Amino acid sequence: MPVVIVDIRPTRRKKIKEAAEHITGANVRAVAHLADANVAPDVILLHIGSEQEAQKPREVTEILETYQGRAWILCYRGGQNRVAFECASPNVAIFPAPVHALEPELEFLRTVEQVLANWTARETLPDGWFYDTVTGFNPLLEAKLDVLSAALAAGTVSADRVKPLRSLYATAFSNSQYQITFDESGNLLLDRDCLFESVAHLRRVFFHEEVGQLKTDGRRDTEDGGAL
Amino acid sequence: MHIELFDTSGFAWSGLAFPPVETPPSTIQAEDLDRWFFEWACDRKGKGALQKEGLFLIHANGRFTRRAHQQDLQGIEILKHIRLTRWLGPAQAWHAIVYSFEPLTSILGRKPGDLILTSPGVTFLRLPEALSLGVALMKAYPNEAAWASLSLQEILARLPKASPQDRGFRRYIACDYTPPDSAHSISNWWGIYEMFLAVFGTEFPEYSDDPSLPERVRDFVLRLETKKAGLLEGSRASSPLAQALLEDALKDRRSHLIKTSARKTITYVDDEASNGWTEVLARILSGNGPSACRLQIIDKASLQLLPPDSDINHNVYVARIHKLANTINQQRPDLLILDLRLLGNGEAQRSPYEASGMDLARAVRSSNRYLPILLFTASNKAETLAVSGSLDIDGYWMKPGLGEHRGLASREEDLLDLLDKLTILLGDDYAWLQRISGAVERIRASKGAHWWEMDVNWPTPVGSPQPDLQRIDTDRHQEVLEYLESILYTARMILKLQATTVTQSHIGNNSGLSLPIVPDSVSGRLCTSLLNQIGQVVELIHNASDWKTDPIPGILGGKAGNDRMGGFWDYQSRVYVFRRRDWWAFYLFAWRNKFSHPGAVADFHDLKRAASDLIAWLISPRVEVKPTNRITRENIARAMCQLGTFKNGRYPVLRLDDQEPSTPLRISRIQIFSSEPKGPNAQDVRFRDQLVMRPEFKTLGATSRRLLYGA
Repeated sequence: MPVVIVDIRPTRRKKIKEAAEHITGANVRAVAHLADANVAPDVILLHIGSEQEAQKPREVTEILETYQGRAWILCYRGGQNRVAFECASPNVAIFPAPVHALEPELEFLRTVEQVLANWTARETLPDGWFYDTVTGFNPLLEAKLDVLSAALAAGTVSADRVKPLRSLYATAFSNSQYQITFDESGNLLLDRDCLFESVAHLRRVFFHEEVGQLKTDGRRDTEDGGAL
Repeated sequence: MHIELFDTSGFAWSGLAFPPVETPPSTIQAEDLDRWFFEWACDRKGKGALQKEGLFLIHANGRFTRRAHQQDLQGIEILKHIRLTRWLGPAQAWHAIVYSFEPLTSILGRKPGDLILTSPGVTFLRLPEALSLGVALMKAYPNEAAWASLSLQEILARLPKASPQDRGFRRYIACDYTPPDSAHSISNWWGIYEMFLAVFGTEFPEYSDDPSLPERVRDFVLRLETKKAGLLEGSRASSPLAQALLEDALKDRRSHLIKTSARKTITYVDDEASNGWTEVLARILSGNGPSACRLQIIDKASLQLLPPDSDINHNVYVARIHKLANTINQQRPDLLILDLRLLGNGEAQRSPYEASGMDLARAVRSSNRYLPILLFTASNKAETLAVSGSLDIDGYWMKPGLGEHRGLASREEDLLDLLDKLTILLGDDYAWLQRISGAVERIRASKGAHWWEMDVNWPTPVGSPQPDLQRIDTDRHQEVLEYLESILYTARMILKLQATTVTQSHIGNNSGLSLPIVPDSVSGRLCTSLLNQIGQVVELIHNASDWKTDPIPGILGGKAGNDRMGGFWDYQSRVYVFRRRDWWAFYLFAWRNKFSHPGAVADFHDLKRAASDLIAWLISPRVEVKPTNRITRENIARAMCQLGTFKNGRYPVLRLDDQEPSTPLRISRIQIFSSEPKGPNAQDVRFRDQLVMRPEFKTLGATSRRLLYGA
């Protein structure tokens, strides 16, 4: 598994290399520009800061275009790079926080280690695993927010939106004092007369909150949300 | 009450029955949030929507760009943009109601940098605490019991504003800030932005198109990370009084620089020149008409240098450096402005002494030794500051940056510093240095063509049985050139030393340095050294190897004077012996003597004149003045130096060895020459000024004037 770190900052690339070698052994090359690596990488840790572009214009673009189909490209930044942000490939992900020039943060190094440790098992990983891991994307949280927004806005949530949560919160859905049901298509339906309370109940469930004495528009709510 | 709503979920607060509630226009298509916010803000500002009293309603989990997710919390990023964008005007401080399904603890747990949610001027509401905004706000402010009787509009009006300009606000930004990645590019772009602000006087050039910021700089300035850096590490605003004084000083300096730089040529070499520095310099130097300064740019496209990283490329790099140096010298600039690192971050790890800019400075200087060079750099590391003392450059200006590159100085002070340095390096002193060095090169090239390289039969002194024949038996040309090089080098050192210590208040309306130099200071000693060298050239030429006994006994009753025919000063008799009728040399010699004694102070203008006079004497035909009338003798006598105290209070005595009676005259006044004659006064004679009025010295005087002041 050849791993290449492309970063014009020598101190930072050296430290990332040390973290990467901890997982992969000696098969890690740290270079200022990809052309210096002389190897076809499986994983590229790519600095997409502004001075990388300034040093060699279009290098980031070319790397993304060439390798997005066959390698994992973990992008990290000091600044921003539009091309990387707009790249829709699931194999390209940008670490969300800026990475310090001299001392890469522990969280970033852990992410690097996690990615490298799972490369060989990538065929068994769920779709989007690489992207979610690098960006810290939490599909469950996203689904919860999505469901709550849709529920409050319309009183109903489409099946595909509620699908990631249905099995996880089946008991909560069925044991609620409020009318929370699924139609034949799997769409979530809430009682429009108690829409507000229903959504509040869902929120408590999703965020594992105590039911307690929640006052909602004058009504007392004492039900145990049945959080899992 | 104007309300701006940032929510893409379709959720609608009830109770918001009063207009206006504005939502972002759907025409904004930016992919990244920084650009999205900029387009929103331009739209609102253009419509004048942000000047009134208002409030922001922000869904923390709103999705405003195509690839956003709800957990990206783009709503909170928008809030940060609002608080850090000064050109929003009053809206920057509007109260913001931020709402989310997520609990605050969950948000802060995922993103600790979002502490801005707890800052003054922000209310965090949890969905769905209440669908009515009024009820939700009353729950959020349980201590405001009186609000129960108020309308929603009245409650909204009571929500406190933020204070993003207060020092206490900084902590909410600092907790979410990572210092910029690269000093070099950050300093370049930030420096350009700061200079645009200072030079063009436009408050927010990123918002206005006049002047037009370079796109890369605008892109950089619009980023949220840059706005954070600007708040935490940017330049400090001066107090209003200091600001007013700075603005007056800027106006004055700029107009002075435009005059100083008229008809001059500047070559500017910088890989970042086309990113906005060219516009900044062009604006600083802008003048009208054919007399405007000419700015020649060598930017990244033209540099074509290879980084000196490998031995394979090293020879090519060196060859290209020298080729570039030749190009620059062919342009014949009056000033060279050079960036320290022409290869950008490619040479970030190299010592400043080995940077490409310094290599180029050395290459240029090897064939153009007195071209003033101003170094631009984007770093203030100790070793970079040390390179500012290098003799390869004449001045140093640090591009305004962020963090470690900022002191407490304002951008106006940075600009003043640049204006002063440009004025000095384009001023009369450096121009004089270049003229003199040109004259010295012409002397070098014309060996054997000067009178002082040949045997000269001077008029026989009165009473002397032997003729005064000056023979050359050494390489007079080489000896004189060594002195001249030393004079030039010393003059340049004085200028460089003064440039590091002169204060802005001294520049005033005088071009060049007019400071009196403290005698015991290094500058004072260098000035004395320069004058000594001028005198030594005179002594070298006139102190012929023909040793003849002075036949005229010492008139003070001492022994016969020393036996150096060419000398002007007789140590034994303490007599100025005016030999050989080389009046110009006599004046130079005596002028040097005046400042050889403790307490005497010369300024740089005096040195320039003396050096110009010396070189004019060397390159002009020999002038021998015939014996003259009494008035001239008295003028000469009056023009003698008083050289400090002597034994028994006796003063030097002038003795003339021409064919007039050798009547000793006691001299009591010092007045070799002055640059500002006070008027025709027999008691106040300026020797040099008298000389140049004589027809014999007309050509020599004109030559000296051309050297001193230019054509």
